[in-house]
Amino acid sequence: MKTNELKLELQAWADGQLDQLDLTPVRRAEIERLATSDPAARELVAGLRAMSTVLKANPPEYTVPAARDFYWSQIQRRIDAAARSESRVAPAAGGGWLRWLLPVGGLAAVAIGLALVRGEKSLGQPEGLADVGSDESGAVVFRSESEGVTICWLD
Amino acid sequence: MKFLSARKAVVGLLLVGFSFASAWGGECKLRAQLVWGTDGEKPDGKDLPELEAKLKGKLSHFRWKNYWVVKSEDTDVSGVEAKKATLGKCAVELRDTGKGQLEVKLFNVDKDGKLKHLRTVTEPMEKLQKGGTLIVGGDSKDTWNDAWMVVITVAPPAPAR
Repeated sequence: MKTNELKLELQAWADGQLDQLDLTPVRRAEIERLATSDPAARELVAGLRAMSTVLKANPPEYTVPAARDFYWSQIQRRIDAAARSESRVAPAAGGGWLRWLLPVGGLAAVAIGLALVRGEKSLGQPEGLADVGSDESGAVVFRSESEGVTICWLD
Repeated sequence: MKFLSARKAVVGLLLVGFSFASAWGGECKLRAQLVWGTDGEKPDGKDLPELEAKLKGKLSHFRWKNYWVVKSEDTDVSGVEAKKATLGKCAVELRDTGKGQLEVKLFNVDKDGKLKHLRTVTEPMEKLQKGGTLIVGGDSKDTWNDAWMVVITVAPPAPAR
């Protein structure tokens, strides 16, 4: 009956790393004998080597998730850019603060950032423009009855 | 007195009906304009007109300094068939649903001329007829800080000859 310790020793032998285990020479010789002559041990070693081969041929793909700090730094950068250009925009009657909600490139970033942190999109409601809502595609619809304007902003 | 009041009411109704028929009867031309919103000047080598002041006023909620008209096309949407207007890299299909709604389908036009449907929006025809504006837009994927928008309004009447 193989113990877990024996299985680990056989795995180390299959990987050519038996020397890295703290084994006596007698024990090391015993492991080598089992790995080459014992049917159960040979089957285990063959299975381990096959798995190793498959893993080496098909390494799993890892993607590095962007840290929250990265997203927030992007959002902050876009908000700062929007704030710098604010002085160039003529004040709009009753709707000046919409420009904070529709910075170019920042709208999607704000929505993503808020979704990450709060799990929901919250774009607020510009004065004078009713937020009709957004749909699963991410598009946001605003409407002003007084100005007769309907805006559908795609994500 | 009652007869005069009734006659005034009938005349009033006729006037309303006439104006209503004028608005809805016959052709209904809409103007679709592809507008580029930017803080910069117009793209090099392209003589793009600036968006008219009245429409620019309706875009006052946006943050851009300049709005250049890339392409403008007038389309008659009377009838049941959808009418397509190609505006450079995008196209719109306009259709009067017959239920008082204008259906607008927005397409992206790739370099091979193939259309890819982006979005369908609807707007009450009455709002447009009364001077309303429908805007469908998004941030530019090519140029940072710029945006594109398709502005749909009723086309101005053709000048009398």
